[in-house]
Amino acid sequence: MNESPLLEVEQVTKTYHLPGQDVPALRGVDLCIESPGFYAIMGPSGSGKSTLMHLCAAMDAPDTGSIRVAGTELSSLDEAGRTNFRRRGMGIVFQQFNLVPTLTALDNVALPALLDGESEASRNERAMNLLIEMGLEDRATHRPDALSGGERQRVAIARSRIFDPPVLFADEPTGNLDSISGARLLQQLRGLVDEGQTSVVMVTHEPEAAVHCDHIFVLRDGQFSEDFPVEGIDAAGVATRVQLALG
Amino acid sequence: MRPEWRLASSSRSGRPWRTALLLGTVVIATTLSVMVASGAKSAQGAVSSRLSDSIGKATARVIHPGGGRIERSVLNTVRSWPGVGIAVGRMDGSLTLERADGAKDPETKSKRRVVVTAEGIEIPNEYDVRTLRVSEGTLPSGPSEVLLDKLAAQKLDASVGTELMVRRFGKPIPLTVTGIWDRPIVGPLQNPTAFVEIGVLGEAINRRDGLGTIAIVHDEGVDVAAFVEARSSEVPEFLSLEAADLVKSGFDRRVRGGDLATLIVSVMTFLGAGFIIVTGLTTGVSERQRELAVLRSVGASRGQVFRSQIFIGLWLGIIGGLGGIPLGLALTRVVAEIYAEKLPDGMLIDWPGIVRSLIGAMTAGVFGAVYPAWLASRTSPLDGISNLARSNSRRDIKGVAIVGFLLLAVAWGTAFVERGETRYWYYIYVGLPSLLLAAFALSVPLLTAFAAFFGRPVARILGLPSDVIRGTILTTPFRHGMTAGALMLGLAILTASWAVGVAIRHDWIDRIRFADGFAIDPAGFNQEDLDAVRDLQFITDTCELNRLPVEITDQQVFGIEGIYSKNAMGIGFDPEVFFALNAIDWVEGSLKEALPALKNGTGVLVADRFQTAKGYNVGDSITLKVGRAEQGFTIVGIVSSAGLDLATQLFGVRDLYSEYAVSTVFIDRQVVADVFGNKEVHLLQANLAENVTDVEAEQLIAEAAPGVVFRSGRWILDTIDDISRTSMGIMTSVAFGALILATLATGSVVAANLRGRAFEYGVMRSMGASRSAIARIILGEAIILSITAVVMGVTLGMHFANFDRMHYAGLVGIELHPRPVLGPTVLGAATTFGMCVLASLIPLRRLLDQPPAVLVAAGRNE
Repeated sequence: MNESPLLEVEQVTKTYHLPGQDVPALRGVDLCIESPGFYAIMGPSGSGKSTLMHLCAAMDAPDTGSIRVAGTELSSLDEAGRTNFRRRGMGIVFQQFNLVPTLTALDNVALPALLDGESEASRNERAMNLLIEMGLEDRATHRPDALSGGERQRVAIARSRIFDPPVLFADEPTGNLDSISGARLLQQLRGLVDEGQTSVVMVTHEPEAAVHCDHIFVLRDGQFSEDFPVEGIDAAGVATRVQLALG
Repeated sequence: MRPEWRLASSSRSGRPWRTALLLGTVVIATTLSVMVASGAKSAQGAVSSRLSDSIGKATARVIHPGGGRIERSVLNTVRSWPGVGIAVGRMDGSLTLERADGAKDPETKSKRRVVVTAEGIEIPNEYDVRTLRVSEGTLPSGPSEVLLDKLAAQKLDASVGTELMVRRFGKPIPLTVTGIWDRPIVGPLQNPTAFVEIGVLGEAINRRDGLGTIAIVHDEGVDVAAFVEARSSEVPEFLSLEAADLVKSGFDRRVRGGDLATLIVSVMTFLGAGFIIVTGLTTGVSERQRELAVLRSVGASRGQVFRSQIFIGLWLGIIGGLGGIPLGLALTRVVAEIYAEKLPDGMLIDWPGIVRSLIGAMTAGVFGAVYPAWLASRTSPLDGISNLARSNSRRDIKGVAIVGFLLLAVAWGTAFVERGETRYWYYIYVGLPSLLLAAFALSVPLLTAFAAFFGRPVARILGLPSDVIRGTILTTPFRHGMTAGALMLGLAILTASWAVGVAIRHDWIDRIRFADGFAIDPAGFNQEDLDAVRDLQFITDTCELNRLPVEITDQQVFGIEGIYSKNAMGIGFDPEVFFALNAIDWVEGSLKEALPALKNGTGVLVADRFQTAKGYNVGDSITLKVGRAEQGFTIVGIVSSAGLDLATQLFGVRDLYSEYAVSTVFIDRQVVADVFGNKEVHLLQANLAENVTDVEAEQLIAEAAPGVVFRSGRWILDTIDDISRTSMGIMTSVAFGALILATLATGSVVAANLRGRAFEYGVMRSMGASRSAIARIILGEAIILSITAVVMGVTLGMHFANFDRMHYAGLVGIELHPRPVLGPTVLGAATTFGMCVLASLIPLRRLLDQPPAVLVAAGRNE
């Protein structure tokens, strides 16, 4: 595992320019996550959670400030470097799953390796191992429309891990799942972290999801207002702490 | 497999219907291209076959380029030359054949009789020079036998053994049909033909002393080119000794012309297909925003996304091309079977044309994929994932408009290029492609303008909220604009072909004042025939003319160098008689001023097309050449041509393969005889009394002068009408074919729009909107698309027509004034609208069948 801090965000701002108005999403955010683990970013709608996640995943660029992910300074990367970072430097999981509908589960998992030019045999072997790990070996040849929501999200997690990245960014990963599927998915993420395979930074607004994490950061109006460890706190406790942090 | 191929492959297979539509477009385009190429090759093969039949093993020939006779003594001279293996004399003439048993045509009740173009041959020496294939019977073996072609046999209802008579002055000559020549029937202007012994023909037409051609077969090992160069000066001045290769030069020019036409048709077809692919793939990119964003978010580079789209286009090109080739060949085969009579060698495969079609298909695929690939590569990882996805900006539309106007300016640059050949080639290689690209580019801003202008009134008429149609179209202006572009092509072809076709009729043909009729003898009239025709009571005035193809050595006046010959039709005439008979317009000069120079052999008149094409004026000099005889003249008058060029061509009074004359030079007959050695009379212009009909005149002249063909001015006009109707029919079919092709693009766009807006329609339905409201929205879109396509199509068509006008003036010397023809334009516009609605029906039906809940769920990607 990389010895640099897992995630460093310094004075990051981001404003969306919409017709007739500017919408500031992040107003000078600072965040430092030193060690590997399972982290949650919570906050109300419009607080900038997803924006921060997209910036950390190099899917968008901040207006000002810097972001380092496992030692990689994102602002120093050119287009090719950012593409390569998205491919190998981190993994990302979306609320909407975002699998490619025309590819099978196996091909979806192997997709980043395919883009990287890896041979078919090698990438398929690694992808299949990840599917087995996620309990989806019998679903490998199915396309997304033949999978349940939980299965799709597990395929998405497997895809995000194909290059064994130091961190997975998860944007409301249980938002489209029923409670049982959601709980199972969170346990799997927890297991990955506990086994030291990766770290997870998850955006969520669900206290029930956040209790699986080690530490919670609360984002309010584009800035972090509080952070606290989760140990010994249940979902109700998380909800109360977040509520207090949001005033 | 490269990642891009894999992505392209999954994208294709995931949308089988869309892929099939685009593939179908390329298949159809390739099929058309292959059919045109192989069809042209087969037609050329038929002509080549006729040419080979005509030339046979001959390695050289002696002719009189001015159409005069060759003394028999020349044949003896040729035979005496060392290196000449065989030399045979041939003679052409017209014969009137009729059934000896007096059989009558059951329909007309008149005797079965036909005027044939007769070829007099030396039997049996001729058979050592060329092979005459017979479909039944045998070749003639003596002077009392005749070989008929199928057309003559058909008109006489004759078969092997039928007894015929040659009608002539004096005692008829009996002939027995020994065989039927296996000659294809290749067109409406083809004359029935017969072969007889040369002496019989000479006796029948009272021309025992002259030959038309001498065919030579050299001994093996003789250098024909060197032989021709060495011996040319030994034939009389007005004759020409030429190698057989030269005989084929006219045919080669036609092949080059045909190849160019094939190339233009193929380029147009593939451009159309390319734009349909642009539309289809752009639609796909719009639909796949989320998918592309996902690819980008998991590490696909812009280059990989770009190449994946290019590979889709390339795949469409390769597979569509490979699919279209066998289909095109199969259809050509079917056509060849249908026209087997006209294509003796059957279907000929044009391999270079096939390779060109495949390359065209691949180019169309790749070209069509470039813009969508660029769009796709611009996809950011957030597009389709974030709620802040981008849409087409006004800046994009303005950019396309600027590009469109720039391309239009490049196309119109044609008008500033030097008139004639340079302008033509600029147009073919620069102007035409720029014009088409400009039209497609401008279809986007134009659609935007029309949607803004007509959207609200159309919505109100259809009982919809005022902004719904405008909003729908303006959400995806590029996709809709390109679809309008695909739709406009067919209408443009239709508009242009009718505007030019009708203009040719009005501005050129209708203004020609033909004589009442023309009596023709391609071999030259004999005195008895001339007297017989002139003595007929209903013939009021006559004018003797001879015609000779003359080469203009100064410059290429008409057509394209290498494709058209430098020849013009020379008309030998007696000025006083001719101008008394014909109402000729003097564009420059006058008869009084011109007459002395015409008579003393220093002056000629030229048709006004010389002035239009190359700016010739009175006082300019022109050098004419026939064989080795060459002489400079001063132009002493510019006149309308009296349609003599048309008349001679329609009567087939020209050497089909080696000459192609497009306009007329008038030379005094005595000068023609003295300078170019041609004393024959080929045409007799005749005015008829009012109480005789054309049919009666034809019959009476045939009775009085067997072997002379008579055709009225009205027949010429009717024949031109037939030809122009056929060619406009072909262009109209092509236009409607293009419209049907465009339906694929329209269907694709409408389907994509409906799918993309499923959520919105689902919400509208769940809020109480009726099915008919949704259908009216689609109808409204179709109306705006059609308005744009119609305006663009008619405008582009008139652009085509205007460029045609320039080329007609510069290359053919005819000033045309094309204007839109209402009927076909309205029909084309209605078809465009109908096709647009038709293309919407299937996806609309599918949408309306879905319950609102399914539509809402689909729109949310659930």
